[in-house]
Amino acid sequence: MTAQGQTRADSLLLVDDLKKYFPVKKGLFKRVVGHVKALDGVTMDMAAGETMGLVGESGCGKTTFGRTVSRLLHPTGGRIRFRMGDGYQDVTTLKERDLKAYRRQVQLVFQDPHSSLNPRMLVGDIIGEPLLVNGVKGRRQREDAVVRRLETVGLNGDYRRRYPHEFSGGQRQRISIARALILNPSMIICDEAVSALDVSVQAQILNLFLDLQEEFALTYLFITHDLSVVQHVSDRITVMYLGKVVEQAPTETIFREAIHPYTQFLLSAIPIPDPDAKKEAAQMDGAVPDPANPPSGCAFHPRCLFASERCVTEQPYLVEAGSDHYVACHFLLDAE
Amino acid sequence: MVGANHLVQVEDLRIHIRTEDGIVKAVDGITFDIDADKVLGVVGESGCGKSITALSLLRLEPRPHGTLYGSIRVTDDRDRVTDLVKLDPLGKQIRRIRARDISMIFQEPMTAFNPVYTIGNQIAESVLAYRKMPPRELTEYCIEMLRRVRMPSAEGVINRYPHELSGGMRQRAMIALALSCRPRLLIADEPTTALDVTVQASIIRLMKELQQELGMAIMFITHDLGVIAEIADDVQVMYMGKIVESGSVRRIYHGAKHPYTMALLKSVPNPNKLPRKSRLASIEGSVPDPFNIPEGCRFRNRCPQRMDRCSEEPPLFAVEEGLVRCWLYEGRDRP
Repeated sequence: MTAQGQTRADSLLLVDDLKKYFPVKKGLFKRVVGHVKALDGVTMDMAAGETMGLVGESGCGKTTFGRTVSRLLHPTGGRIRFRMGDGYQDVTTLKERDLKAYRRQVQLVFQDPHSSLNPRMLVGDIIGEPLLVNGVKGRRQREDAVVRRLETVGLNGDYRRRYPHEFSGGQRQRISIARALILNPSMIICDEAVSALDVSVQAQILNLFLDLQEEFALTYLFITHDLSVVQHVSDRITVMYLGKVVEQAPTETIFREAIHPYTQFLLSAIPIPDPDAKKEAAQMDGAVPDPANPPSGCAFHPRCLFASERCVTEQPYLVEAGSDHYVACHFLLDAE
Repeated sequence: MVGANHLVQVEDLRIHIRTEDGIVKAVDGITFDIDADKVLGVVGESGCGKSITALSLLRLEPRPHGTLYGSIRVTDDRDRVTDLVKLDPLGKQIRRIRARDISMIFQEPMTAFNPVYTIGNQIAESVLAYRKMPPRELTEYCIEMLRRVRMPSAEGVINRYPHELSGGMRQRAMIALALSCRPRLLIADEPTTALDVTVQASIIRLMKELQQELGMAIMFITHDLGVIAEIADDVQVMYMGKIVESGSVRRIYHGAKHPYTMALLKSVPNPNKLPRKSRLASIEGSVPDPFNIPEGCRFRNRCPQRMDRCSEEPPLFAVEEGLVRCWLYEGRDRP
């Protein structure tokens, strides 16, 4: 029924009811006075070779999701399974030293290419470091791999002898991508990977992502607040609000037949590069509530135009609204 | 062209910045007018000179490294014309213009506000800078300004500190502060870039409404072509310190003339025009190093339509509803 339980034959990553709570500490002894539920039961499965877009306003938990799935953060609850060989490995509670195999498969590309590359290291060492960590001892061998990867991302192999500051933002993002690719991962988590770039460069990097996906059959989790970008690259889209999934569907479905009022609201806010485009002004205002103190029932109800009494008291769960289309909204259920 | 409607006339403005490695010509000879009650959109990639142009309209260019040449003529409410370039950037006259004629809002309102004063305090300060008002009336006036920008519970917000407000609320407060001295031109430098799309949409709506209510002009600077399409009447596209194309927003979006503008428009994913996962038309290379500007047309080495002629600097040519700086339009009238 819910997205949970449903397992595709070709699933690469299965995330069930993932939770991540951050403690809120106060006072002299840093007593824990509450929790911010950054992820409050997120379920997602990703097929090999697909691109999942993850969208939502700032503070909705999309970055935390990327970091928890890649096990940079330790989950509070739930389960993460990843296909390794023939079976699935549960990586939820693996210790650091046992995570190596998983981390070879899942790599990250971050937003800011200025702070994600160590300014004191040569580009070649930055890209080659994952090899060293994973026991590729031969210097020559590492160097060959670095040159190959630099060329894959459209840079000159000789750039390995330079420092990150010698490169432009777009080139630095290419270096980050080369680093992510060096271990031949099957999945890359892109956390706002093109958001800091100028439009013309953003287009180059998006094209590179698309080319690499074809070449290496990569699976992407594309986390961004830019809905036009997500629409362009994603096969499916997950919309998050305050640590929960509110809607999940194939890209076309989301953009044509979004059901959740929050998704519709988000879509209506996209600026369209066409002065004649007539838009129905979404008159919903207000900001995301404080995640340490989320509203009762459906977290979106204070901003929702269709909120009923039930939305205030009862929390909606994800239900199937169409083929591969999941929504968490009482309004939908009531209409039926 | 001395039209009564020109609030600001910029002519051949050049901004040179001295650095250790030599002089950077951040802006290299731009001419444009800002008309009363219109929204002028300025688009360009980072480093094209759009922000420094805005700053120089308030004489906030970097000092002492920056030098302005050319002229920026501002017509005030009594039809007196002042050339800002000739003013002392610390003098009384420019302060008067900043208080009465031109106001500015920035990308990150958190850094524009002083964190140790309340919102009310800071609005009051800017009001008192140009007129006297008894305290009770002043409080009323501040609340009124906040109401005008649709600030929820304005009475409470005047006693709050900037960090207590959300990003969208802060940007509203910033706009209230900027409008408190009733400027005739509001310069907005990437005011929505740091905001969520949903908040961005409400701020843009607010700015459009205020512009019509107050009949002021807005100079809106952004790199986001979607935002420009929603708010601007006229657009000018900048590349490496020059205006490469200008015209009405419709003409630019439906009939861009300069290869750079065309490429820029094609590089944004537009769901209505492009199939999913198709490759975007990107511009090859990246913006050149400011110390190493190509001779002739600056866009030459990235341009898909370059010709021999491009090694010579192109002048502006008149096209329908605007101007374009490109040899492809050689033979058209020169402005």
